[in-house]
Amino acid sequence: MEDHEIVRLYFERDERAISETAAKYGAYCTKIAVNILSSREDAEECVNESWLHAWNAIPPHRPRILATFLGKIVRRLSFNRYQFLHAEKRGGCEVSAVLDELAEIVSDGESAEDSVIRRELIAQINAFLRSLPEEKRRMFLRRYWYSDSIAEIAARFGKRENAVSAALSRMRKELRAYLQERGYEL
Amino acid sequence: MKAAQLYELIGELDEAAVYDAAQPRSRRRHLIAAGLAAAACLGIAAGIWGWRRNSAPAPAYSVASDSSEALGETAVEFRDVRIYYYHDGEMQSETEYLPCTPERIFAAWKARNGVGDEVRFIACRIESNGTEHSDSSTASYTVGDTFILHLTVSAELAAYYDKMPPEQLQESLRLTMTGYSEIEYDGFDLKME
Repeated sequence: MEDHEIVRLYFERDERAISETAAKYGAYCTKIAVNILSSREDAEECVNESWLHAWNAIPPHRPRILATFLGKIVRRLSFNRYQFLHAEKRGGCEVSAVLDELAEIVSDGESAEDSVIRRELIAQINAFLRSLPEEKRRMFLRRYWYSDSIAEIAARFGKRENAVSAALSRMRKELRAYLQERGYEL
Repeated sequence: MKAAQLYELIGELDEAAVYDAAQPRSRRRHLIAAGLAAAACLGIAAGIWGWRRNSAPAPAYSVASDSSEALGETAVEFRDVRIYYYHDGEMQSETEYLPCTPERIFAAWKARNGVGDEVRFIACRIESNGTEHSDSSTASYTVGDTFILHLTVSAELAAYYDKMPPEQLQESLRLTMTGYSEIEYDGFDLKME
């Protein structure tokens, strides 16, 4: 079923919207959740919960891109659960390694609670990503949005794992410098 | 800021870019390039494709609007192609089962974006830093590592800039034209003439 037809089911409050969403995007969302949680059981619970969130959000929200809209929900829910499960200590999940890498960009100091600053930061990171060659941009997003492992990214792009790690390391440094040049000390 | 907060911020990045990063790239770039190389050899041997037709630097592959018959659409692979368009100011996309030729995909993009038939596909060329070598009997191709898609369409497209912001029209076109093949492009160049 096409995305606009699924969205129409949501707007009509037809419960087939959920089964059609699960059929089309279940695997996609489960992969995102498993990358974060490393537990299929936890991941499936988050995915099922995300269908309910989608049901409550549409309408009034009309997703620009249904896949990404659902992916964002399941990513957020899964990361919340990850933080709950790992409140005291990281480890064991791919996202733990992702967070260690992201820690190189931030200072671990004050957080940007202000929503305006958050929006500005998001815009700056988007601008940084647009400045990257397409393959690098995809690699960055596969690692830091989808939380793919280095091995998965290497396989996807036909690179050696060392090359992927090195490219990601360069991008982290570039992003930190890019934000600092624009006055953002994270 | 803590790493976890940056991770959450990254979750809010541009949806189109995130979606684009999820598109399958089932074959490696070197395999794609190898395919292009094979196609190049076939093209040279059969005289089907217009190599160096525009005297452009090292084109890997080019198709112009008058070459679709020669290309032989019956031999072209069909697949689900994602066509991007803007609706009420928001990016949308739908998949259509189409022959993977740039002309047909451009036609599908026009239909989704309300662009009329007066806007014509003129040419599509992939620029790569690969190089071709040929003599009277053989041809080979050294694979490059950068790919830029050059699309040329008729100037009537500019008339639609009054109806839709140019950046939206160009972005949906870029995503559509660079997303259907398994080549990971480093750039997209749109020309109108």
